[in-house]
Amino acid sequence: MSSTRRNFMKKMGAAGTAVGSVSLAGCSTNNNNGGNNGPSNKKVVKDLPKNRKIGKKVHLSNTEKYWAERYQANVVVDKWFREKLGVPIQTKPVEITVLTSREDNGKFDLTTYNWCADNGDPDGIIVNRFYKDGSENDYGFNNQKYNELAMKQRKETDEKKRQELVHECQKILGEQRPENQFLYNVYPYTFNNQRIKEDSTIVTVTGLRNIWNYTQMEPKNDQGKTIVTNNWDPSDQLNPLHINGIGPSRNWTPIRFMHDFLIRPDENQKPTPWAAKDYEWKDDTTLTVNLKQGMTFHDGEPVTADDVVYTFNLILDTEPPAYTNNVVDVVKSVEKTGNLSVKFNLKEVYAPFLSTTLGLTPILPKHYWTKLLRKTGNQKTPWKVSISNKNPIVASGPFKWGTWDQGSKFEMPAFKKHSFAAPNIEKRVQKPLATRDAEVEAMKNGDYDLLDYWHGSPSSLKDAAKNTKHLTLVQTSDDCRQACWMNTRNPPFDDVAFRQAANALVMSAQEVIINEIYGGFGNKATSPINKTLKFWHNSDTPMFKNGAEGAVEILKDAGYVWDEQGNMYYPEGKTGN
Amino acid sequence: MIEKRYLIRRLLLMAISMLTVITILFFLFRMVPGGPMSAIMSPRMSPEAKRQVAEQFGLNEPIWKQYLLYMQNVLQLDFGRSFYYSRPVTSIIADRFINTMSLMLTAFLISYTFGVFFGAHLGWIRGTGKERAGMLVVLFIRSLPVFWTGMVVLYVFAFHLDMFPLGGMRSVSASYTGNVGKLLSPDFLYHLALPVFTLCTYYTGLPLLLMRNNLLEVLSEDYIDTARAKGLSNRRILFNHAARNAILPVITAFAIAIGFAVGGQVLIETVFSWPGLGREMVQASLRSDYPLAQGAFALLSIIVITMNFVADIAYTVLDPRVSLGAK
Repeated sequence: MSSTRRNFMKKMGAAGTAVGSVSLAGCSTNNNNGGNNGPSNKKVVKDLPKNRKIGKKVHLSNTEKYWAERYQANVVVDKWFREKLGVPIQTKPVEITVLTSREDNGKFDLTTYNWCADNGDPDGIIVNRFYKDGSENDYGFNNQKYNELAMKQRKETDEKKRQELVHECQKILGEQRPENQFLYNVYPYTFNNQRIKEDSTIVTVTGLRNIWNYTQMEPKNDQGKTIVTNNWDPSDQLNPLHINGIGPSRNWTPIRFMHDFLIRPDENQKPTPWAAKDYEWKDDTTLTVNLKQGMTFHDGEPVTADDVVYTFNLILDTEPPAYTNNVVDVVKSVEKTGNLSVKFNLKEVYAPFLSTTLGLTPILPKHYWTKLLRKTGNQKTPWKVSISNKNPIVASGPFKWGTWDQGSKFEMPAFKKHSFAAPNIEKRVQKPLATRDAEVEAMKNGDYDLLDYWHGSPSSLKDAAKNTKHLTLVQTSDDCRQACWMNTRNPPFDDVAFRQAANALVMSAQEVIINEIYGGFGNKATSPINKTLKFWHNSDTPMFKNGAEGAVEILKDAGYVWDEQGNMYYPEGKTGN
Repeated sequence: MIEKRYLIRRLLLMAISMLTVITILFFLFRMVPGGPMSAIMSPRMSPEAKRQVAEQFGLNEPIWKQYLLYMQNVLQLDFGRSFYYSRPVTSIIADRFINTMSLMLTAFLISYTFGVFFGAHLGWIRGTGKERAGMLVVLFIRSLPVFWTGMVVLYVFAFHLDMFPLGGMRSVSASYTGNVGKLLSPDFLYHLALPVFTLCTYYTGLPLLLMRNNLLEVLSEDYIDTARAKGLSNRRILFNHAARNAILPVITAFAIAIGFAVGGQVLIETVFSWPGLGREMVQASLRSDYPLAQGAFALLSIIVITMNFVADIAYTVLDPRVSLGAK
């Protein structure tokens, strides 16, 4: 725990993190009547009926072990709800599998996560999370005007007009506040400057863990030719058609490095041709793509239009669950129009097609996958193939399959014959260590050359880099946000006024969260779309000010009242049942 | 000596115990809150796609149907496929089993050899200052939490002196083929050294204390006096007459320890980033990866039950006075 956080927990009246957690969590039961510390502008009414009293609400949180800062931020926000507004919200830390399961079943009042954009495109946030039938809308958010705009932006091919629609969506989300952001993450990373040339590194929203960096980074000496890095968890699934292959970055990062894609997000997250030489929209639902010449797979076979057509047809025919949203539901057919050119026919207009369809679908070698599926008997279920040293990946990306000793080491030699993105280094090695302390020490003693991930205390990594000559620290904001979602089906979260008041409270807590809990590693957040996505982020997203006092004003206007002990009650005519 | 009827009855009881354990495991994991869906499904998936995946894994079936299917597969030694790894459970367990056993068996063999020898020695020199000092050291080391010892060992020998690796099982430059090549490679042994040393500091205590206490009892027997009267050397009395009889409870402890060794040492595996079965069992439980968790715990139970049986058999071999099943 960083010294800042330790001091913070002390200030909160606890001797340490563990004690602090217990002490703060304990407030939820002892302090149901504890709203007297809050602002003085509350409207106090005597003899209020019991059925109007706001009952206990559950804020599902990850455990402290899973993500200490996020858990502590939840504890603070819930404490403020109880003490400043008199709303008895209890932080309930659960294992992540329990959390997601309860979220899926709607058994929660609030929940907090870290969610990112899909390959730099806002569609995943706008539609999947907040559209009434969105696959990630477990919060029951349903706003008619928003629903119309969300689907409209998905079908708007004019980028400028789409930007306006996305901005408009953020405006509604700002007013309706189903989500309250805690912060935009800022992450520290570090690399060994005695082995890697400092001016050759490229930092993007994913830090140093991006294909531009790994292909352009230059070694300073022989030691720098093999880059050893960590992984936040050992890779477990390297089949690019499996849901876990493209989901968590522990798998997606190596898969992305071993495969080529027609489009990749550039250093600023803008979709840019990669394996595609160029592309042209013939009309709103027809796209032609020309492949670059001279590309080969790792086994020397040329990459042709047949491979692209095979990949998409394989997905359309077998419907891997991982590709339902962005390929099966979107693409009508794919045709070969030349040895190096293909035509995509879409079912309907789909604006994020370049980013989330072409940018997330790897090109599979037809000759290899046909054989692999036959050998394993998975012709109808290609996502079930167990990728291993016996059935390795053969693709065309800048890195090749080396050896995989699951849980211990995954080696990826550079594909030096890549026609346009051959890495300068010789090999990338993922070597997971079980603890954050061991990872820092591995950086210090030269066992690691670069940290792809850092999930420990940001300040401790900063201190380590400061005190170790061969370590260079880089900091970057990703395209995600840590935010708290409210179950808008449940009272009082079904009331927009209550959600707006919650926003006023959370906005005022952001300073504490960023500076005290995250040790300054974070940016103020107002919208679900991070400001690193400059083109899509609406900096005028409405937010509510004046902290607890502002929140009380909003609640008073909406008819909420308090008893003499500071407990909050629903407006007249409304109960929590 | 073992009676045939006893043997059959014992084997039947073992089979019933194993099936009971597997049944309990099946229902126990399903009673835990949460579920495996988060490990096998992306939030990006549509509800329809989620339903399809649940169907593929049979998670939409009533629990009794899932149970019958599972038992049917288990009887054919098919433990299913891990939700998380999408690989057969047996292949994942086999990988981790080798890693864990290479660590645990090495540690147990060293600990029990060392423990038996020095336990016998301490028993022999009972009442001396050396014995008291020896007991103090043993009890002190035994009372240290093993993960703490591991962290101290790691800090001193890896972080500070840079003599050993920080963790893991192999160096980046190491290359070997097959499990035998791996287990015999100097690089592997170099990585094995610190975790084994840590485990030995903890595990040596039990056989050492058992051996010492048993020896104290044996040394008061008449046949020891007879041996002395015959003018045999101390060494011969200790190792040929006393230690052989005192070692029986240590054999039982060793057999049971080997059974539990399959479960690995979660804390040590975590401290030393050792990809063993212990960590995998914990992770599988947390991820609600039912097939893997059930398979790993079932293996652990089967080996513990079997090793108990082996210990009983070993008794009859080591001590002719013991007979199983005879009236």
